[in-house]
Amino acid sequence: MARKRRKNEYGEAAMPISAMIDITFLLIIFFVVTAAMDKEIEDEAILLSKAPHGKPVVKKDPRSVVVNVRKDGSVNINAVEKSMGEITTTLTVAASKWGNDMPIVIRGDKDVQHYHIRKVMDAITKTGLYRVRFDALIE
Amino acid sequence: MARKKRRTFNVKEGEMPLSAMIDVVFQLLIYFVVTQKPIIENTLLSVDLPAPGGKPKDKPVQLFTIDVHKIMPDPKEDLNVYYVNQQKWNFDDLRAQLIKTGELDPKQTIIVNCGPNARHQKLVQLLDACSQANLTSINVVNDLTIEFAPAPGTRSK
Repeated sequence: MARKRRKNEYGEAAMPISAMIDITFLLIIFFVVTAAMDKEIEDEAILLSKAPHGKPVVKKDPRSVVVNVRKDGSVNINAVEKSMGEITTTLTVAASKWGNDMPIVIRGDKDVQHYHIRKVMDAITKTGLYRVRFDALIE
Repeated sequence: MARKKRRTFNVKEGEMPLSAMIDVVFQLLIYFVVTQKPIIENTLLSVDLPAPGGKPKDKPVQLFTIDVHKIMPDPKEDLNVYYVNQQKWNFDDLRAQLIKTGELDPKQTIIVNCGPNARHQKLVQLLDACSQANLTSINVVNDLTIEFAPAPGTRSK
């Protein structure tokens, strides 16, 4: 008896790509939605200290200014290196715009000496700002 | 001169040219996969700075002063040593004491007296312990009595 050959419903040499396209589009939508487009510039050279018991940041205050302090003591805001005088000026301008309760986030390298952090804190005190936070990682 | 033959897609009538779209979709997918960063959770440890023009309080309050200085040359050993009211404490005992203090009075003021040569990690570790103890009134003051000795490869000013 001759054996019947089952015919592929997609025809000869065809691949069922509709399911694959569906999944690919879903993945793209996921990545587009989760991509943080407005993320601030972070200094990748800074290794943050760990604070496993700190409360995770749920919502960042949009007014906050991040001051990066590298291991060698150099200080920058938005990847632009600044002197203490320039930092005071930048913060004074920001404070006049957003108010004295504007938070300042200090991103200090875990190995930087406190002397360099202190200089930033002194500059912040001069401007009249008082809400200072240290950035750290939850493990 | 013979005209170049225009490139055409071999698409049957009533079908959509999917191959170009799939190429673009895959390129987009690869871009997003490559640029995606892992989710890292951050925390912000609050400290109080002296308010400008602030006046000292009339009523003296009992203070809990912790000194954060570079004491040991080895960074790991150094992280374990603090001075509380002039007495040497190891970090685990200090953490336990802070938790007890936080249970008794979460509004207890903690004065953190930080020296210029202490590594930032040592201060953050202490602030983390205060956060664990639910202590919220933390004042970081700078110890001006100790001279700054810049570590190799760092700026002196």
